[in-house]
Amino acid sequence: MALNNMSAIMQHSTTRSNNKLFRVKYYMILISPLPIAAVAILFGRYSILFPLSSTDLFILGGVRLPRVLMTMMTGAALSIAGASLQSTLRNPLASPYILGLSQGAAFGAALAMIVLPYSQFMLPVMAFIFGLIAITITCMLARIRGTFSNLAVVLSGVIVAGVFTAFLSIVKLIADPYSLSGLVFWTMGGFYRVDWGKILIVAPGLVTGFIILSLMGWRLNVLSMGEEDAKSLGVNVRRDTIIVVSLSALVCALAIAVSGIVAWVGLIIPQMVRGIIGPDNRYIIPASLAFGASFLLIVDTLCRSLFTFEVPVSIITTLVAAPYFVLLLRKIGGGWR
Amino acid sequence: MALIKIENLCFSYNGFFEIYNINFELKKGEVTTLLGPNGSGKTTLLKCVYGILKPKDGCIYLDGKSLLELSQPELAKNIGCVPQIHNPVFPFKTIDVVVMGRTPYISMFSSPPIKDYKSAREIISELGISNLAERPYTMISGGEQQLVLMARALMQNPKLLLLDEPVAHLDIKNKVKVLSMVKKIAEKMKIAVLMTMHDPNDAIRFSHNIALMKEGKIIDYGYPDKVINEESLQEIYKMPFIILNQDNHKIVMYELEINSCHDPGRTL
Repeated sequence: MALNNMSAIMQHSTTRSNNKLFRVKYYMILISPLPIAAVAILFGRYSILFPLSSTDLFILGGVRLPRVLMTMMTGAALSIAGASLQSTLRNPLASPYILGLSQGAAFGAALAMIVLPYSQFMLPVMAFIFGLIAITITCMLARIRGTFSNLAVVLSGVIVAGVFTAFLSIVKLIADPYSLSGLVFWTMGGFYRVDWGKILIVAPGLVTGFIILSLMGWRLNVLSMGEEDAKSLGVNVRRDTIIVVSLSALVCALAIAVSGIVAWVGLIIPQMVRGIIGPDNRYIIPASLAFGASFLLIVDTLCRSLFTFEVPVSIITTLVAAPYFVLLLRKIGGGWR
Repeated sequence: MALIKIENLCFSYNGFFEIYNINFELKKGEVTTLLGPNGSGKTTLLKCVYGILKPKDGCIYLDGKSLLELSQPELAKNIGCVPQIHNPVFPFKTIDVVVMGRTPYISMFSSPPIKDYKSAREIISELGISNLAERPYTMISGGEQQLVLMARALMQNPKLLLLDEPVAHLDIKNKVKVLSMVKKIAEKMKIAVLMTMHDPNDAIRFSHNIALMKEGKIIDYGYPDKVINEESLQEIYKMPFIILNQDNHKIVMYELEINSCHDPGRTL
């Protein structure tokens, strides 16, 4: 009896210290974007010296601040979408890039840039429409006998991504040389074109998406248990899946419309966060948001200050993500548990 | 009064999974087992009661109200379902899986309150699995998962509990543990239980009522002693049985002469 009590107390105390450790990790991730943003604003090819001159103020407020904000929102958008899609489709490999959502949105944005008459509003709208079309096709193709099989989700994503990449190439073919170079650079991802005007157009949609998805953490947990389980728990699976997929498409498309295609972030950030704080989406979603923002901010700051020319972010994100994935692959030995 | 009343229930899916003219009642505090060979319509009937399949004809009443009038969350508040075990992708803590049973009571944008965690801990201690609370659900054994899913279904605060072959993959010890728990819960919490099973001995031991199913129909229904005999089992399984009486317990044995048994429908 005494022994039982002892072990019960010990278990209780380990649970509590685990909880404490968990909180420390969680809140550290949540506040991480703040110090990183502060450093990123002061860092760059042009050195900021105190006291600030009017040129310094313009560079801080008019160039670096919007760029830092947009970078954070893009990292957050891709990561939060990746985390939500992984839970809804019950597939740890789901991400905007793998499911073709990024390519669809990029094609829509390219159409708006090259083919349609120029309008600042058309760009995000077209990106959203085609992103949504792309991921809807992927989901429909992947749904075999009433469920999303893991292999079918990834293969459908490959198909849809391939098709929309081809469409994008067609747009490149018909683009005039001047727009072409801009388009090519944009598809590699970059934040050099960010200004306050663009941020004001996409920020409301992004923030709305972030808030709603963050509130849906528990529902995502239930959805990730599988369709029959979720139904037996009173969840309208079809409706909720549509809501999550549409919101993911919305935030991704808005980010892509400004920043171009940024590869891998939506896949590795949720994976890393899950590795650090566990599978509960009530924490994963806000943590992915913060961690994605921090990660992309670091990458972009390196991109613009390492060399005299600017390196497109996708190059660095891919080079960082690939070794991480190799490690992950070795660690899990090819299975997901 | 009966909690669930099933009247003239018929279902068919493109000529498959047919069940006809099902009539029976489930009472609070009683375990009813559907017994019958593979393909006899047990799971189809269960899914109709559960509302996943819409009946073609007939009606199912819960407390006098047709199931078709209930929304999905309302259904989940009244009927708890323990699905066959499968491994989910993400390693949630067991206690979180149990608390998911509260989902029909909370809105899409909120999380379960602390008191739900309290009642989840009460329920798992009732089921004797408190030690699993902080362990990942994906790392516990099949028997434990079955009990966890049962705890989750009980968190829904249901009037009716449905179990689809709850002991299909369990060893004998876990099987006895799960089935005893089902019976105890039904009697203690005054819940009606409907489950499907394959072993007649388990059905006799752990149910108040047995419904024998054959080719989509219920051919007999009642107390185990009344329903289970050599003839009735031979009729549904088309093979010979011997029933022994040991201290007033019926024990079903089978003879190994399946080939000699003539089955006109299944000749090759």
